[in-house]
Amino acid sequence: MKAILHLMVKALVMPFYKNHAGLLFFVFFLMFGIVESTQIVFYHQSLIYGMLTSGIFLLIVLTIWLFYQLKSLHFLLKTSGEDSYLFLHHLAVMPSSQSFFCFFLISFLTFIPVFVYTIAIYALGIQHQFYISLAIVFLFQFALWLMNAWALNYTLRKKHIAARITLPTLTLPYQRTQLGIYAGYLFKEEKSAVMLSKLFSLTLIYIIKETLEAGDDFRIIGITWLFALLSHTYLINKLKVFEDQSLSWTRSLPISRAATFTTYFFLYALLMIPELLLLTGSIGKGLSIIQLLLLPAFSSAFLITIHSYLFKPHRDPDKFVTYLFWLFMIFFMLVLSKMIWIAVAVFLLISFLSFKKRFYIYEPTED
Amino acid sequence: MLQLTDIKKAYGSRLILEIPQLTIPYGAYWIKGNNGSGKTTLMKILAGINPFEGVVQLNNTDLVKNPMAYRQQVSFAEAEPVFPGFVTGWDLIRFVQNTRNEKEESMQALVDYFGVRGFLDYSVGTYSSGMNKKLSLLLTFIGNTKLILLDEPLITLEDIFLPLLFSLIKERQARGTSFLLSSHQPFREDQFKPDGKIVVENNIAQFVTS
Repeated sequence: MKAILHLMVKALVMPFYKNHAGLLFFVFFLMFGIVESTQIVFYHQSLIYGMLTSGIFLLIVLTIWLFYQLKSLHFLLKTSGEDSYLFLHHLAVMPSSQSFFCFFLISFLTFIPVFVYTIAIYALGIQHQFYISLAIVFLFQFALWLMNAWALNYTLRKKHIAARITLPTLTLPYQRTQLGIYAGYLFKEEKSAVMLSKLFSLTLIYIIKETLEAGDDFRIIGITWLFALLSHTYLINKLKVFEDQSLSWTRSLPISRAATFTTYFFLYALLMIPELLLLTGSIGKGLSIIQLLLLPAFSSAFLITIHSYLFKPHRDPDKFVTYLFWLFMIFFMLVLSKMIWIAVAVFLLISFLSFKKRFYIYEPTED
Repeated sequence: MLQLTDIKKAYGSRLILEIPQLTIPYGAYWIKGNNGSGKTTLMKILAGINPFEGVVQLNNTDLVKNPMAYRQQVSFAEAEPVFPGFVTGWDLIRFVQNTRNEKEESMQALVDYFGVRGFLDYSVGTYSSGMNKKLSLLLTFIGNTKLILLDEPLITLEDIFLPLLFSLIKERQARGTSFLLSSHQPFREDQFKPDGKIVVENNIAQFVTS
């Protein structure tokens, strides 16, 4: 049992955190990076107090946890369904209660970032005797762990039964181009991941947009946009895996590196169109038309820099989060220093040169 | 003419392939070797997919120094091709057609020759391994390339299609295209008689005339 759990943690939990490092980092920044360090304890005490005393606030938090757990379930189901994970089907020969227990632990382990914060909720709740709210929190989280464990166990044992619910399939034009194939992958194969990124980034931009007034500084939008981009970073990892697994044959085609780089540029610019459309209503409120048009290039510069980094030979995958952190900080400082144009130009140039150098010497390795 | 000089390929400390010097003249050759001998690695090096140490030149075009010009002359079909599951066969054909600037008539003729028109409107994810293999071979014949690399072309293909494939190879050969076919099993002499063999053994590839 211990060996099975060890294998499952390695095969499911670790890839989950590696794939979602960008998203978790983004949420961590939202929670702890935007508040002054002297105010941080008071800020979180107020948040938790509000959550335990307001029914609506509590409902919003529970809904966010539900989304997180559904995202985790989606990842675990998709990963365990891959051909390389067929070994997991050996679990089906175990008694159902035992495989359920394994999946329950996996479900809990992927929930740890939320659970760690919940410890603070319990501490404050017990101190102020909010026992009913705490009971709701405990039961809800327990139900979420059970939900994922049940879904994973059920899927493992009933794989021969066709799915009853399927998400609609998009038929995209221009799928016969390199850009079309990449876009097709994101919008067909990774619908849920894209939707989740959009949920975070559009909500964030909407909140900031509503607070903007005429005469506000563009840097407010610039920094918000950077956070919105951060919620898309885990899509880059997915795209890279897709490139390695399904597009390796295209490396033998006469497609120049400049053409592939241009494809990335347009892909990442197009990816942020919903956010761009949302911001069009803010022209005149801290945002000019030229600045609005700069944002797609800004998106491409940030996301391509990360994509180019993934071509680094013999890259240590555990250092990805550190890389992301420093890249974010550099962009953050450049936005604060009103140097977005420079950030765009310099990082596009750097990422093109590193991509050009690395593309043909890159070889996928097992992470 | 294909020339390989000081080729080395290693995964970590494990040496997979070492070719001090190999010159392959125009023709159709069988790359022979047991499982794990390095046939696919050699193919992928020649196709420009796998990085390597050394020099590969096709008709004096250097793979590393002139990657685009080299790739315009070479095409490659994998032993077990993997394509994005959500695209259709037509999508992939059009994609390669645009990349290699193939004429519409030639491309349509190829589609008919391979007898795949019936399933090209469906997404690749629904294809059997045999259909996938046929599509992969078809993509390799798109364009006017000077060297076609076919990795294990015999596997997963139906027997009835093999004479058609070898007939197409002969036709292309007559138009100046060279072929390298890897296989761990011999070809039927009535179907394909190679001009020579490249034997890959103990990490070394050697040219053997038949």
